[in-house]
Amino acid sequence: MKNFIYISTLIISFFCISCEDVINVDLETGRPQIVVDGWINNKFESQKIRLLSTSGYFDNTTPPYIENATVRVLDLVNNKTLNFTYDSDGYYTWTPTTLADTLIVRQRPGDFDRDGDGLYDNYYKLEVSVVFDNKDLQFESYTSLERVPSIDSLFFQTSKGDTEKDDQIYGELFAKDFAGPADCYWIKTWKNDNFLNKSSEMLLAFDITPGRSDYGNILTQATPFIPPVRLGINLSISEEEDERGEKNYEVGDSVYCEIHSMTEKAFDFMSASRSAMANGGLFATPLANVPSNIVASNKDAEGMVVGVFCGSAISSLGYRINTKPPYDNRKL
Amino acid sequence: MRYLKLFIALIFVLSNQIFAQSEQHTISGYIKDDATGETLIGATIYSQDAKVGVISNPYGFYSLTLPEGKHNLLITFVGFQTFKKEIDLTSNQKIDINLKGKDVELDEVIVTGEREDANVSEVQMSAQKLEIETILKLPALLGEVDVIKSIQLLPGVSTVGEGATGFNVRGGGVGQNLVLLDEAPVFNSSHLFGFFSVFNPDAVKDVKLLKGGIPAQYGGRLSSILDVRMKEGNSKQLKVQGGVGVIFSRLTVEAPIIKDKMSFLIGGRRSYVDILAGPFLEDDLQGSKFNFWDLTAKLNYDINENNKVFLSGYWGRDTFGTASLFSSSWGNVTGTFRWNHLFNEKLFSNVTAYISDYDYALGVNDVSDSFNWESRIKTYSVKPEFTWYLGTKNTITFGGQSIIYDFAPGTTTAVSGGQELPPFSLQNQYGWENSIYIGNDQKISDKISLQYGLRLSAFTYMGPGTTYEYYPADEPNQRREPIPGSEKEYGDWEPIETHTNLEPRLAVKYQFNEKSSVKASYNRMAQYIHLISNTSAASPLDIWSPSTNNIPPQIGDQYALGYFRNFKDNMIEFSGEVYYKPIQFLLDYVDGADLLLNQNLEGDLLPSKGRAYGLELYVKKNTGKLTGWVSYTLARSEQATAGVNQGIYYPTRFDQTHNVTVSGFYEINKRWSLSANFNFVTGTPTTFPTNQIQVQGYSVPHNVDGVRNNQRIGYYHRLDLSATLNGKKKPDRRWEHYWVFGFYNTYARKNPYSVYFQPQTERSPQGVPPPNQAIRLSVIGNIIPSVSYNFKW
Repeated sequence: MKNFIYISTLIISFFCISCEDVINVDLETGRPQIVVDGWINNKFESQKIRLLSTSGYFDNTTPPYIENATVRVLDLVNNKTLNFTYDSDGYYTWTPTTLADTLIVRQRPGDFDRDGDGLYDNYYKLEVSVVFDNKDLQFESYTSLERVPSIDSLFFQTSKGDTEKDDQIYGELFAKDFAGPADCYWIKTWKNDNFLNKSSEMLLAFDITPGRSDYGNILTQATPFIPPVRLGINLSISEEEDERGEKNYEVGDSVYCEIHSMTEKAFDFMSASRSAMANGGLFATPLANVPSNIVASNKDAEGMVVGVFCGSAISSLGYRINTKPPYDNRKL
Repeated sequence: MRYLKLFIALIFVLSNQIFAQSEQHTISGYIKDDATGETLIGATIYSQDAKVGVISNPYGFYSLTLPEGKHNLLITFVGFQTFKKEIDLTSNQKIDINLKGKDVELDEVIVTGEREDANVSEVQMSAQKLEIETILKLPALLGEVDVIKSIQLLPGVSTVGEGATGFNVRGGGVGQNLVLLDEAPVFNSSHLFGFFSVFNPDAVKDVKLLKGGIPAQYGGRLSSILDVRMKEGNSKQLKVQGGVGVIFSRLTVEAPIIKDKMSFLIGGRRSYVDILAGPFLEDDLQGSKFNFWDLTAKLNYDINENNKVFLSGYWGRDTFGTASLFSSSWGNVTGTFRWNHLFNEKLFSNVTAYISDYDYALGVNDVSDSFNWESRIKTYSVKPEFTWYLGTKNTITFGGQSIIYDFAPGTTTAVSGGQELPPFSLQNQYGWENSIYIGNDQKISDKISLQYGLRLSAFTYMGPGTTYEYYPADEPNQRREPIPGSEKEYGDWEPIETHTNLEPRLAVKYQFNEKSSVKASYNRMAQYIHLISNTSAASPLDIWSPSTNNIPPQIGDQYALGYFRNFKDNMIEFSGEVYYKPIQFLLDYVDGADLLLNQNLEGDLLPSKGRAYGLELYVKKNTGKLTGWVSYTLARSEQATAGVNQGIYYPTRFDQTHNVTVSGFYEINKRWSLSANFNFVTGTPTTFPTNQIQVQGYSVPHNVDGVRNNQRIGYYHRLDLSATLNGKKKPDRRWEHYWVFGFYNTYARKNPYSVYFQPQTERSPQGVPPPNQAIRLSVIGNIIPSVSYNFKW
């Protein structure tokens, strides 16, 4: 689809007739809501959950922090309560005291349904209560930490340049998705310790594909990600950056990748976020709100909270490009 | 059932009339163009003495029953000299009439005061006919004359913007139009997304759009019927015409095989942007393919005076891709066989059989990775139709249609990292649509005429296939998951679910006098196949789905009322119509719906209802050096879906409050003529964010109350101009040629196609989202000049 849009854009721009202009639009700012930005993982490190307020779409200042909340995560397997305390900048933190206290990753298939009621079990429950807009709000959300495959290799090649363009070094991530449906991943890449933070660089995978697909139902063995995922660890370089001579990867760069497992709901949230931030062109879809998995647990909280709560297991691999990689034999 | 009783009562009343009539005889035959032998659709044959007339049907046939005695007949058709004939009717007669073109003689022909007042005198309302001569004169994008772009200048017809596929009629979606090319449905009527349509203007004879008051013989779509008829091919002599334009080159050849008995037409067009652009493309785009072509062919044979057969075909394809990595293509193929048979001078029949095949494919093929996706819709149909010219006052039409649909929504093969993936396909879906209809055009008196009918349609969703049941959603706007264990398997031809609908049609005309009439109509339409699309413009990748056990058919009613008035001997015609269209079932989509290659697509669809209403005004000047029309539409098109926009009606993407079109043609002299076209449209609705949500260093747009289409993009207006220079005509030579020079979007306005919201593309500091911006996309942001050269001999 991406290629299709690219080609269609190319054709239209060939006629030299279409144009895109940045314009001024007066947007009315809607009433504020609470945003939960809660991502916990299986590392032996401080776990953070952030609470912010929504802000005006064009507002470039940091959104207001929600500082007075009670935030806790219930471990439903071991009947433990993890109390998150306010740190700063909207972050609430909890730190495992020993390695044994780190969060647990659910293994398939046995762990799917421990109590045998036929329903998907969650391991962790988020509970938040907060006074916001003079109302006492209570809301909750569930997650588990899903399995994550290891990264087999980070593989670099050089695509041959010509008179107009220099040789270009690009990377490819090899990992195999587990057999079985609906494994969701967020693949994060750092170049020289800088996270590739553009929305166009957000790399998600649903089983082996970048978006939802039914492949998980028919694959019976672990299978490599398809190329749009494997090649997604490269930089997205804007026209202006290209003119300034910014490069993708160069000899001497260090590259570090992590795969974070996600729940299906968190995948839908991030995938919709990515689409919403890239929406445009001839075949744009209507702007739709991203599907939050935070649920109001009292009446006052209804329609007052958005965001996502997700647990992740993390695998990682780093690579330093010491010499110029070999030329590739790709068609484009 | 109520309708059925009413219908039987009417038939009874009418049969009484038949027996009450005195000695009568019937004249019948074909009306043709004298120069080419082409039959003329919609020509009027009128007895001045009996004050009754009839118009020729889509095959040029007419049948008129008159009292015994002398009659002065007038035969008229737009663009042709009026033909007068005196007959003494003592028995049934076969009279074929050949009309001469207005420019056949060098001297100006004085056309007698006989009028083209069909808009006032016919019962049919909400119908729009565009002469191919008019279409040829309109200024066109890049000089490419276009049927679909031309009908968008008529009241009640619109588009969401340049480059958008298809058209919208009276607030209906693109998928609610039945586009027929020689009676075969064309599923994608566009080349290059929506810039050009698939109809080769040199091969088109007649274009008729029905927006309302739709007679019983048509069905299957809610909003409109676009009936495009191809030329039969010159049966007198060899004729070649063609042209060279900026986008296409085209050539059409038509000739008799057996003079006056058998002729053919074959026309082709091909774009050559790729050939022209080839040398200028950068290295990595070298060898890029982007081209589109179409071929139209027709053969007809007059076996004898009672039997005629036609064979027509269309092949078209769009291909886009890079040299080897990426490819995409789509195309239509249609084939139609028709047989006209005259049982007697009063009973005309036509049997049509067609196949239509629409396919689209995408492919990425690299060394150790590939992905190929293919999808197609095939339809097969047989359609017998009968017209029974019962007497002076009744014309009964009856018939039926049977259509078999074969949908292959997606078949894929893929290789990832050298490992071949199991082929993945969505199951084929099969449907069988059957309908029967009967209708009558009845003249009650000089003032009152009726057109009424009933259509009974049934659609069976059938096997082979597997069906699922879905859990109800916790909240309305949520993906529904299939219930495990609810799968049911069905065998070949085994019915899964049948939907049946009775579709009544009624139109009434009350004629005050020769110059003015008022008309009213009601029709119900049922649509059993659905275009699945949630993008702002329909894309060639959009899939079609049949009505299933989980998707009911769309059912729409339309009420319309109109006033028709002609001035100055029909030099000026005026019409004003209002309509109201409630739609019982429409499709909407859950937020973030996944429409491609989704086994559980049904779980991503939401039931919705719609309504559209509006006022259309139209003034047209038919004769003189300056001709043209002004059209104004005031309209609303809305949809309501539980879970979207809080369940409240919201404007659809193609809702346009005001739409004004002015089209004018001016003949300076025999060689030069000018045409101009101005269009003003209220901006289409869109959704703007009210807030941002910051998550993980990203800023995501958010609309706090989930309001849909709460804003409008700016006004759209555009002026196009063109000038035609006719080559010098030499009386001894058949060669004719002309140049067309044009400007599209003359004052280079950057009309908005859409406004969308994105973060800036520059990298921002770690942890801080980049500033957001609003971007206006203008598909055409400049003046586009064009020149084309056209010839015929």
